Amino acid sequence: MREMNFKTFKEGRIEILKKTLLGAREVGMLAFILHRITGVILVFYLFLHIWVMSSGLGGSRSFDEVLSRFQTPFWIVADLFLLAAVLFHGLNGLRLTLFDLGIGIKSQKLIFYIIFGLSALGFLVAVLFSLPLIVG
Amino acid sequence: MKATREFWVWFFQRLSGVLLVVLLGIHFWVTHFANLGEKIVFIGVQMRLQSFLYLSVDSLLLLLVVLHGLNGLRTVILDFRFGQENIKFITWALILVGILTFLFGVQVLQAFLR
Repeated sequence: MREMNFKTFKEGRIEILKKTLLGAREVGMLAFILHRITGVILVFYLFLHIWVMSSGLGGSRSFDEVLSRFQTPFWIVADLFLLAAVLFHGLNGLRLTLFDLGIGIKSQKLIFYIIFGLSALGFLVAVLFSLPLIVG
Repeated sequence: MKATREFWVWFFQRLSGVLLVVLLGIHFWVTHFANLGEKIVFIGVQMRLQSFLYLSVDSLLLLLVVLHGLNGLRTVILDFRFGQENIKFITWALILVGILTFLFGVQVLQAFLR
């Protein structure tokens, strides 16, 4: 028989995390997971971004040479997905901030759908803007 | 005391988050959308950074994004047992990474100011 024991707060949090990673049925959990995944991606992108920009330390020629490699259709598409991650992370962050201020908690699902829709819309507008650069 | 500190960390994460939404919006617009389709070249970046206002936006962005990003990473790490057991070491390691990244970022910005 398994021993009964009380979980510490930390263990509880780990258990919640495991459950959410296995399957998010609740909108709030989905938001939580997406917020973290996009956040981690953006931190790693930050290092990549500074590293790419640091080619400017080698002067104008080295910078232009490096940057031209990243302005191909493939990398523009990658940039658009990055933008999607930024849009979602930023808007969901505002959603969380509202909740911390005590605003809108009761409509948290609706607000999630709104910010998700806005992210998708922003992404699509950027895709339309960038289409000439990708296919043209 | 520890609880107070964590409160300010949490408060900073929210405040910097809201500021980043605004600053990143400006950064994206000026860099990618204002002159859509124009290639990003050294001289273009140099010209943009001539503006004191835009230099301030990028500098503040660098500072806040490093703090917000690494602090967020710390929160994610704290969700795992490994993180909770080694949080002191991890915090100091992230602070070190943050300082180095910021200083390097300042160097990179300066390369365009000459």
